[in-house]
Amino acid sequence: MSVQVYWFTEQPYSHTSEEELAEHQRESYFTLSNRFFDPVKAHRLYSQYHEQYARADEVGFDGIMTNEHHNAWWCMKPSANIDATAIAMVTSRCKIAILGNVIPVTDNPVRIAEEIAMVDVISGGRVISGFVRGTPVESIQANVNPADNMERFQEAHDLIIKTWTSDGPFRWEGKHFHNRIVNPWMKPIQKPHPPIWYPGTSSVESVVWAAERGYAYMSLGSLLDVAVKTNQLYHETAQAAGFDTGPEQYGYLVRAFVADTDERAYEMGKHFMWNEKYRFKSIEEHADPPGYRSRDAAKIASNRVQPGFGGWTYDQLIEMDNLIVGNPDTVIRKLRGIRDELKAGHILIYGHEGPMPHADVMRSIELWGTKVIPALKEP
Amino acid sequence: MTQSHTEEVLSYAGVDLQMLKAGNGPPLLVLHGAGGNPGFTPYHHALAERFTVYAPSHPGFDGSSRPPWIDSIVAVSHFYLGLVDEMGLDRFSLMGFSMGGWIAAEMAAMAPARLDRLVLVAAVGVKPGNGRIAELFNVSRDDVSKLRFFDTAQVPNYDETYGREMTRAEADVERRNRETAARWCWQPYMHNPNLPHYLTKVRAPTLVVWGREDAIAPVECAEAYGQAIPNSRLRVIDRCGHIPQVEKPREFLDAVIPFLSDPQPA
Repeated sequence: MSVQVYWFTEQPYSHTSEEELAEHQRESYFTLSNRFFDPVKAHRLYSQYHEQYARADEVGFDGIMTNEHHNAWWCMKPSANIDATAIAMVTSRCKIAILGNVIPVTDNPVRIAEEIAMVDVISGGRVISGFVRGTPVESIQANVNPADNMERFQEAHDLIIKTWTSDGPFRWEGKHFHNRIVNPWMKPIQKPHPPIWYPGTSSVESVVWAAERGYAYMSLGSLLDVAVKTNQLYHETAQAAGFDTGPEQYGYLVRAFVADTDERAYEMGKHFMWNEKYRFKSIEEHADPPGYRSRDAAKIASNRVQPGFGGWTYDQLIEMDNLIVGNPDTVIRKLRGIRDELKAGHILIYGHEGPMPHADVMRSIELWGTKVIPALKEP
Repeated sequence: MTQSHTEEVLSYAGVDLQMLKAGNGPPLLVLHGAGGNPGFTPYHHALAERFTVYAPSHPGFDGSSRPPWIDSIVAVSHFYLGLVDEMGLDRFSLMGFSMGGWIAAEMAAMAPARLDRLVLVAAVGVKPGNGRIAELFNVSRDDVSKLRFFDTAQVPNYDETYGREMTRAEADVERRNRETAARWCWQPYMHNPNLPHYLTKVRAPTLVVWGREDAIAPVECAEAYGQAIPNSRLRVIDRCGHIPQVEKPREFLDAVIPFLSDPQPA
């Protein structure tokens, strides 16, 4: 199987102004009031984002990835499954990679199993189902105890898989979830269930969790040297667990913009920095709520100097190939390098950010489809 | 004269419990708040002149282990009632600070016949009629530190105790204490909606001690406790925040020692 290329955008609410952010988000992403949200403007943005989805499907993207975040001006997707349904309705052939459902913060994992199954049925079996622990914000906004996050993740995962793979009715009496009658009419088309993906940035525990279950691991924009290490750990762990792993088990998300010229791409790519200054700005207690990280993970973190996702300049990120901008030839050359270095079977293109003009994004999608993706599929 | 305290590990119900102890006289179990066991401090020593003071570290705090089943305030309250049986304490007095006051209140309602006296100091556990218990987890530690005292100038050795940077080992303990507190207090936040109904069963004479300017558990919580517990009285200390035993130690001890010592408090 040649490399699979996916389209992704956070669907930012790009009307958020620098002034509002500077004034109201001094301490934390929780302090920007939603009174700055205008649903009519959001409606127009959704229309553009859906037009981009449809075009990405037509021009040859193998899939579209979606996700969810809450209380986020930089991501207008509080429900990954609703966006997945929108993708299903505006596309006809591409995969729909939900990356993913924040299963620890739900009170009813069976409902999540039903929703994913429903999208799989609507789309004719095009769903890839990712599961995530969520950022700490997801726990705090849902008021779900962060100290239970990992346990709830495991149990919700087990319940969802059982819901998909066992005939009902059955009873589930776990520690966190209790469903006396599990028997949803809706089950996925794909058997035994849609492929499972698990994403991470640099957490060793995440890589090991995915590898031990043979689930494909998606590295979300880690610096390349970190990605190389997680890649190695993934394959070693998965093989030790008895899985025959290959490129299809590993993917890499990268911010990238292609334009007709290097100069235009460089200008447009500056929009990737739109949220760098504020998105990750928070007090430590919001990024690291009690019990969310294991004590071992916390010790590792306190012993490591982290530059922080938002600590680099635009040019530094380009220099490190963490952010790729250019004309088709430039982008092809750089992405082939990443593909080969990581032996990645999935390349997830984070291809839009902030107030990038819609016309430029549509042109970019065109170039991805006509120039870049065919070249990436060649050896 | 200050007596030295002993420290031992009690193994009971799957917990290795760190227990500090000093003094002679009737038993007094002292339960610390969500910040952890402060150790044997001046007010502990003052109490130990008249009582046998037991000051455990709660399961999951400081030097005590926590099995998974102790996952709530109700669970730790059952644990402590079993522990006092194991220790052979037929009757005892109980004093709890902040989150430890919540545990003490649950225990008093669970086993009303066992208590001689109950002292609740700035206890969370009940939802105030007005105001709200301050957010302690989703705000910065610096902001929390501003809520503890009415006036830090009144606090002996404030800078050494509260104002300095934690060592790495202390930070690790603090992290674990915070995690356990979150497990027990996250939702409903810092209270048990049923507790006022349970508290009508409490028989022991009860003293509710509060700082009038408590910015964490507002004085309305004291009033809620006073209304719910039949034989209770309220002592509110002026110009005082959430930790009266530290910020106003003289007033605190002048209130609690006579109350605990009097055979027939009114």
